[in-house]
Order: sequence, then C-alpha cells, then structure tokens
Amino acid sequence: MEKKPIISSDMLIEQAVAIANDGRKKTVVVAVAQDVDVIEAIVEAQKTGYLNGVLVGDKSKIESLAGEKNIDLKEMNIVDEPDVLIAANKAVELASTKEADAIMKGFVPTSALLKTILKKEYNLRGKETLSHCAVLDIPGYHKLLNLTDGGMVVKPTKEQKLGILENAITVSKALNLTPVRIAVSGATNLNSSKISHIKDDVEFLIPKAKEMFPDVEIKAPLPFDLATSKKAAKHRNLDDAVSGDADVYLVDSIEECNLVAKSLIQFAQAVFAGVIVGAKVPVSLVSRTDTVKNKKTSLAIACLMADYYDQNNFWEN
Amino acid sequence: MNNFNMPSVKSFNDIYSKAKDKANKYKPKTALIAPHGSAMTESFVKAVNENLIEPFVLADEKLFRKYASNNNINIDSYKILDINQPDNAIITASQMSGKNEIDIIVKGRVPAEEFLNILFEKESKFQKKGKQVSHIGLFQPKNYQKLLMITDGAVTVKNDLKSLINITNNAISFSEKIGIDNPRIAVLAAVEVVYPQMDSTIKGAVLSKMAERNQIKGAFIDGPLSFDVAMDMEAAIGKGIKNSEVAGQADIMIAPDIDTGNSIYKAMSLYGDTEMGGIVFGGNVPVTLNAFVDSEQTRFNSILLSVLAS
Repeated sequence: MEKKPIISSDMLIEQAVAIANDGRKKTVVVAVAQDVDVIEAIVEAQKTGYLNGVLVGDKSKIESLAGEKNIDLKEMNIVDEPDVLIAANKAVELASTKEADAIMKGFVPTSALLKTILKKEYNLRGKETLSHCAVLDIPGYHKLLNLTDGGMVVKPTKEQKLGILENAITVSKALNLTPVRIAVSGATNLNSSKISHIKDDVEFLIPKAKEMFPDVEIKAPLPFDLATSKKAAKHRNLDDAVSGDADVYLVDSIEECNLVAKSLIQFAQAVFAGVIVGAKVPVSLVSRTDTVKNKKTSLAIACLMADYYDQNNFWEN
Repeated sequence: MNNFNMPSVKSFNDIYSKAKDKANKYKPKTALIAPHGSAMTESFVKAVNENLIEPFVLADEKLFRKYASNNNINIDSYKILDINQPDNAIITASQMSGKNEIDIIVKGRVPAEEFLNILFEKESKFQKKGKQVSHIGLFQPKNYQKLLMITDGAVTVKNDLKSLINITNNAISFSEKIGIDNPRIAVLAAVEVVYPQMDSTIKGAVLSKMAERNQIKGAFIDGPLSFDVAMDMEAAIGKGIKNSEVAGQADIMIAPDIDTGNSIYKAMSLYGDTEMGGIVFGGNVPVTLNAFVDSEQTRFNSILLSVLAS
C-alpha cells in the first residue's frame, strides 16, 4: 500500500477504507453504547466499510434509541450488558484480549472509561502520558493541523509536555508525514517574552525533543499565524522547516487547545477528528455537538492509529 | 428557557454608521506610526478620505511625501511630524496622547510586540494610573447572529484574577462605547463546571459571582462556559445550563490567557468565516493594532473601532 501523506479529513476516511480493503479491517468496540449519536456514527462508519463495530451496553436501550432515528442495527454485533461499569469493563476487556483494535466512548464519563482502560489487569497503558489530539481539517490550510492537548492534561509539566509531543508525533507518523513539523505555541515569537512557558519550551522542550526525536522539525515559540501561514512567516523572514507549514500545534493548556479548536470548528467550518493517544489502543471520544462527519472522521483516525501500531509492532519495542 | 437578546448594534455596518455619525461632529486626531510599506496605511488613507479621522503622520517626512506621491495620495490635509525612528515616533505619539493632542494611535509597519513594549515603557506615559490596557478583538461570524468580542489577544501577559477583572471591565467600557449596553460576558474555559484543578473554571465562577454582587457593573457575566455553550443556544440547553443570561448568546468572551486569546484571533483572521477588527483599549487613547495576516477590511474596521472608542 502506498504511503502517501494524509492531508485532509476525506483522506483519513479513504485511508481507513483502503486499510480495510487490504484485509486489515479494524474492530471498534463502543463502551456503553446507549448513546444515539455514537450509535449513528459507528453504524455509518461500518456501512462505509472501514470498521466492524461492537456495541457493548444496554441492548434494549440501544435498540429503542436506534429505532427512534431509524438506524438499522441488523449488521451490528451487540453485547448486552445493562450495567454501565460492567459494560465499560467488558468493552475494555475486548481491547485487552485484542478482539477489538480501538475503543469508542459511549454513555460513560470519560474519566471512568480511562480509569478502566488503565487498570493494571488489562495491560493497556502504553505511555506515561495520555493525551488528546484534535486533528483539524481547516478550509484554507493546506494540510491537517493537530492541536494538542485539549482533553487530558490540564496544565502540563515540562515532562508531560514532552509526553504530549511524543504522542502527537506518533499520530503524525500514522498519517505518513515526513518530516513531522511541530510548532510550539506562544502569543509571540520572541524568546525573551515574559510569557512563562516560553522559557521552558526553549530551554527544556526543544533540546530534549531534538535529542529524542532527531527526525522531526520543531520550533518554539510560534504564534498561530506564523505556524500556519507561509505568507506571515515570509513577512517575518522565517524560512525554517516549520514556520507556515506546521503539522502539529503544541499548546500549553487544555483551554487553549479546546477553545482554539472550537473556534475553528464553529467559525471556520473546520472538520475535526479527535483521538486519545498513549494507551495501547486508540480511544475515540466524540461529543454531542460534533457532527456525524466529525464523528466518522474521529473513528477513521482511530483505525489508522490502530493499524500503525499493528504494522510497526509499536508496543513490543 | 433562555431567550436570545439582540443588541441594537449587531454588525460592522452598524459600527460604520455610528463611527460616521461621531466623526460628523468631531474628527478624532489620528496618528499613524511607521507608514512606509505598511498595509495599514491604505486603510488609514481610506478613513481620511471618508472623513472619519483627522490625519497625523509621525514619520520621516521626505520618505512619506515620496511614498504619497508615488501612490497618488493627496496629503494636503495631513499634519506630518518629521521623526525618523519609529521608536521615537511611538514615544512622541504616546506623550501627545497624554496631553490630548491626539485621539487615536495607528500602528504601521512595526512588529506588534516591539510596538507595545515601547508604548508601555514608563517614558511613553501611555498607561493611566490604576488602569490596565488590554486587546479586544471584535468579530461578526457568519453563523452568529450578532457581534462577538474576544479578549485579551495581545497585551495582558498575566492571567491572575486581578488581570481578568481589569480585562473584563475594559471590555464592558468598550462595549458601551460601540453601543452595546449591558453586554453578556462569557468567561471561557474548556468546561462549564468548576474543577479545583482547572484554574480557568474557578476564575469564571468568581467573575460571575462578582457581577451578581455588583462588584463588576454594567454586564451579565457567566462562567465558566465552554466555547460551544457560550455561543450556541442548543449546546447550552443540551448541557442543561438554565437561567443563564449569557449562555448561547455571548456578546463578549473572556479568554483564560493571552496564548488562547492570541491564537483565536489569529485563527479567525486566517481561516474564520467572519468580519473582524481589533483594538488596544484602556490607555490614554485607543490604539489600532493589526496583525500582518489581517485583511484590508479588518484594518479599516479596526480604525472604525478606534473612532468609536476615542
């Protein structure tokens, strides 16, 4: 299979389909599936042909929710478990025993699901830091932009930020991006800024990153415009490998990531694919306000991540 | 059930009409700094030609006259102060603003951070005692029914509670200036409940309580609110946020820190389906401050905002 860089949300789904057609179709288990938006997304994704869904949850609720929206469950594999916590555990167990390649969050709090995933007995913790990547297809930008972390680490320490960076690089590699271009956020591009995280980024994060990931391009600090606009970068005489061409925008707080992503989704029609990285299986979580397209794209990126892990024996090294 | 309220000023067309009305009575003296090769100059000239401002240019006079003749700009009505160095021009403009000799400062081709650093130096005397200066972006997104302010995107590095209170008060004053009374202010966070480990959620709750107790006057404030809940009534109702005067209909969003405010402003400027403008507010006079990526319309809008804020 050709390793072309994935640069749009449509390509994410196409690539997931191509993987399935190559005989590596992924199984995605929904933890506590009595959530109509989640049911709709997974049924759609299965119809498109890039995954097999397994719904673990309250079967009668699942069926009545699907019935209200005329969603056809004939082809769906349903495991009946009315109790929320037991259902979450059953779903995670399927991933643990490799019967499922990815987990999708249903009607269960994120924190409860993650706690279950990280239980020792399931052996699914991959990295020290789990982080959320919001991969955005922004109309007008020439590639996908991975904003991170907007869902897991509230205010990362220096070390956690490095962990978030590592997870983002993994996502970029699963998208066949070489080299991976990473911009580290800042409201200014002056190293001398009084903004507190900039010093740590320049003195700790960048040297560490260059040492640990010699094949990636990374630059800090870069404001959003200098990270994603070649015109703006040129205006400031920045001709490095990252400015204006970032694949990843690594920010300093959960708020910045979440709010910038939301503003782009609401006011710039960005399509969004979200995935939690750092566990041995990708975890897909979508919110009620996400469109079906966003949900399907999120499932596609989870499939790509799972395939990348398989193909590279990622967790065995 | 939350009712959607529409202020009388709801678009940049309304802003334009108001600025016109104001300038018909008095044209604010407006100082342009470092005009050469700056896209801002075009918008400045447009504002002069539309009788919105009285032009002052602080620059190398010879160069500016040459630039004007090369670009067929009639500068007969322009007052030119011959100052070679942009740094000196900024300080002079700022000092003039303290003596009411000019009403608005417009930034030309100087990087914003450098410009602000000089403006905030003591000798510039730009900041009034006890007052904080902040940046306010104003947006008219296609899929929002009214104008939306987001602050602070460029000035306030600290994000302690005191700074956020000042930023909020500036936004309320600016809001009154442009004709939006009792604005609805959302203090943004990633969620709409208070988590002790998430500082932004605590600040949101504090600010909204301060408004309730009339410690912050002239606005409805609710926080913490997520972006969706602040601007989408359906999301607000879906999340069970009831009896809020703000959720689903924010006029103003307070960003938790400068990184967030800056990134949203730049993201909207580059990719947003929105008309917009920006201003630095709270000093001696309003400052029109634009990013390189801003469009010509954005620059002109920013001058309109300064006219109304002056």
